[in-house]
Order: sequence, then C-alpha cells, then structure tokens
Amino acid sequence: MISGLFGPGSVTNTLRGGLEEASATHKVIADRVANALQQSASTDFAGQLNAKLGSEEDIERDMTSLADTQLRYDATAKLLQSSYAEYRSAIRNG
Amino acid sequence: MASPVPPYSPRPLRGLLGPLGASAAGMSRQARFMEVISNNIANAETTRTAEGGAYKRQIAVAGTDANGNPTTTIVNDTTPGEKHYDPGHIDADENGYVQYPNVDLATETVDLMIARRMHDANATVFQSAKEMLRRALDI
Repeated sequence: MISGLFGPGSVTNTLRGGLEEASATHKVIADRVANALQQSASTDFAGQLNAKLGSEEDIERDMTSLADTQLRYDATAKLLQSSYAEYRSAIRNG
Repeated sequence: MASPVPPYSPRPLRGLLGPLGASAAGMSRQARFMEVISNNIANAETTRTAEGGAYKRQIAVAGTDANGNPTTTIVNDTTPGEKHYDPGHIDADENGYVQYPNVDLATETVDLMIARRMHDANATVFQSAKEMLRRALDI
C-alpha cells in the first residue's frame, strides 16, 4: 500500500522525477549562461555574427528557457506539496 | 507482490546547488572582465609604463584549470596604437611623434556594457535557482 503511494508509477514518484528533470535543465542553462562570454574583448562584430549564425549559443533563448523551467519546477513542486497534503489529511482524519 | 519502494533520493535539492555555484562563478568572471576593461579605460592615455613604452590594452580570457575550476588569463593586445605628432610631449620620439596606447574608449565602453549584461544574466539565473531551492523547501 505504501509503495502504491510512493513507489514507481505513483503520482509522487512521477512528480519527483519531474522536479529532478527541471533542476537538471536549470543546471544546463546556468552552465551555458556562465560560459556564454569567453573573453572581455567581445566587440569583434563580424566574428560574433558568424559565430551566432553557425552555433547554438543564444542567450535570449537561454533566458526564456530559464523562465519556462522555473515555472515548470514551481508547478511540479506545488502539485507534489498538495499530494503530500492529501496523504497527511488521510492519515490524520481517515 | 508489491514492488519495492525506491530509496528516497535528495537529488532535486542537490541538483539545485549546482546552478548556484555555476552562476556565482559566472558573476565573478564578469566582475574580473569589468576590472580589466576599467583598467584599460584608466590607462587610455598612459604613454609611459614600467615595462617601457605606451600602455598595451589587456584582454581577459576565460578558461578552466586541470581541476575544472574557472580561471581568467590576461593577455596583451598586440595591435599597434596610434601615433600623434606632439613634439612638446615628454614621451615624443626624435621625430616628435608620441606613441599612444591601443585603447579605443568606444570599444571598451561597449565591452563593458556586454560584460555588465552578462553579469546581470548570471545574477538572474542565480536568483531563480535560489527561488527554486526555496520552493523545494516548502514541499
């Protein structure tokens, strides 16, 4: 019965997986933003344009994914909190 | 038979301490960049240095050491600076020309703005990691 509440396939387990996934995504974004600027002289505009056209680096996209990841994390944490609240209520009043 | 309960893993919390460190390293790197840029601006008119000759523009380059910790190396920009005809200047050569540093104020200002924006971006990521951590503590 306990594994039905917390084991594989349960709501709490799925939500916990969601939290882990969101924090892993957040870590990747943090690394990308931290390493986006590699030197203080960054005004080689032609070079930057070529780099931008050819690479995946895009700080705007990273910052948008950051907002998205944070909202996902918040939503998952809220859902997890409410499922725990339900269990708590069942334990106390059931 | 019921499937065994997987051991509790504190990974969401541990995973979140990573971005805090990464963003903090990013912020200190940008601070170092800004330091080097301000040094260039401060010495934009320096025609005499301890090494001899006019000041050479410095560029901070990011890297990592053998342990993966972030490092910042400073290299000199070797492009020649401008020469101005000013025979009365104390550092004028025999033809009356003074060698000025290869620092362009507009370029340095733009570099400074970029470094500041990147510092802001890292601060935003840090803030969001902090909020996520706080949210996890509320569960």
